[in-house]
Amino acid sequence: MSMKKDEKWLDELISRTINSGKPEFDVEKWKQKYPEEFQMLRSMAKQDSHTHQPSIWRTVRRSPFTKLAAAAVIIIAIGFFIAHQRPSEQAETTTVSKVTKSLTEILTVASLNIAYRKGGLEAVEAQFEKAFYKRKPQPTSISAQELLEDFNG
Amino acid sequence: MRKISNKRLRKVIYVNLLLLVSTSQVFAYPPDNAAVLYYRACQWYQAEPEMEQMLSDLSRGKIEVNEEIKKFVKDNKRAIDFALDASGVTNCDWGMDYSKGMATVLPPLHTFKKLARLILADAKIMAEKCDYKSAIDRCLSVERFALHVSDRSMITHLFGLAINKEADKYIQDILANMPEDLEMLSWLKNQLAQIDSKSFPFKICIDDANEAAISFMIKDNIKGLLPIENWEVPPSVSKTAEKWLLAADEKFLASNRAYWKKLIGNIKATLDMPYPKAYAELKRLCEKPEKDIIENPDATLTLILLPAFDKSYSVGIRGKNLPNAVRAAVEIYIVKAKTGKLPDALPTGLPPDLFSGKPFKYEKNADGFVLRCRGRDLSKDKIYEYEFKVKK
Repeated sequence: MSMKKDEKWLDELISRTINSGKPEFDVEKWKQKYPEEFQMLRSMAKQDSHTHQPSIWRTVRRSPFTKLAAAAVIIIAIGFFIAHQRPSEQAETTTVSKVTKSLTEILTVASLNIAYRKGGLEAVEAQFEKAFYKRKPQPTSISAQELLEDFNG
Repeated sequence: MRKISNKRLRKVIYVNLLLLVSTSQVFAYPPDNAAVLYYRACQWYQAEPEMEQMLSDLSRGKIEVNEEIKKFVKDNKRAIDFALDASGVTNCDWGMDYSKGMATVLPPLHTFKKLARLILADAKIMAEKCDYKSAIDRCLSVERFALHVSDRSMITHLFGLAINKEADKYIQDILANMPEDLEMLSWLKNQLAQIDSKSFPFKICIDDANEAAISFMIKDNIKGLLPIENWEVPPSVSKTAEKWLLAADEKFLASNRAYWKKLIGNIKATLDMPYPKAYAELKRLCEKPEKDIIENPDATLTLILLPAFDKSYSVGIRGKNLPNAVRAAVEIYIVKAKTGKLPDALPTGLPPDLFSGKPFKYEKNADGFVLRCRGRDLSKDKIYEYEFKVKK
């Protein structure tokens, strides 16, 4: 609750209790009577006005549009970061794929030449076997019922 | 009015004729490309690893035809029929994209070899039933299949030779068991001569490797050569090769291409030499980049990309030597069929022993005759001899 609201609430309560109309407050008299309190209030008011001044930063920070924009900027930045990282990641993938080569890669002229250099035609055959072993095995036979089931989904 | 209707009628006839002609071509069997049928044969081929081992043993003469093999051959009849039909088609295009050079993906050569063994097992079954003509016909089909397989790349060429060699082993076996039949022997001789006329020299494989490597030697591909361990580079020079690759620029590529071209030119020239000299020279040339790379970065890409031409050259000679012996033996069987006895000396003008470049050494024995090589297979340090039995 703010100080201004407290004052209003107190005035109303006093006027209701005393029932004598609105009380008049003489500022100059009060200043003279309570100089220390006045100084204290003044310094507090200064501090309060300084702290409660609606700064641009605060406005910007509290706006939902700004929050959305900030989120967008973060997402874009992450996107850029990933995109920027991709080439080196690709290089890493290539390195890995050289070790664990794909089916087509191990059946290229280059790859089979290496296999031949290593172990002759037997090594080449073994490479073919390895590549085709990776493939999904085909059923050896299919019944008419299975065929119909396939057609009917 | 009459003219107009005549014109219309003529047009209808033309369109119908065109449709008839075109549809008959579309549905013609066999198609004009043997590869389509071989691929279909592969699709229908079904074998368990145990049976494949059995067929391998049969082809090596370790076992005889048994009931399991007979059942297997019967179950795979559709695959055999497709392959036999394919072998009769002249044109064979495997659908390989050679423009991709070293990244060209090769067809399933291992399945082709199994398919060949399946047909040869069928030939053996036919021979057991004394149907020698069909048995030999199947062997000849496998030799035509081998010609189709033997494409311009070194690996397909070697597979083709291996398949052809197996077919010749079966012919050798059939000739030992079949009764004298001059007509069939003459037919076999002509068929073999036709097949031989279509084979191509090993130089084509070198040209193919040359084109592929030159097109590969561009800057974009250099990074793909790392890590160097993937290329079977000798460990003693792998670090040096890696060092040169990491510093590669356009100048490096140009000098590497020049080094490669010079070496390939020298390798091609050796193929005109007699076998012992050619083998020694090829071995020296293929080992050269490994020695050169220590001081010379120009040898880097050749060291990595050079196929084992020395090894494949010997395999090629070995693969062609048994067929030469079989062709020479057919002539001897013909003499026997004509005269009733084996000749005392080897007839002239027969295919030579490729290891020596000279005629085979001919020796008669109690079972028939032997054709012995005069030259040594330097890669195996072995002298081969081929035994041909004569049915009593």
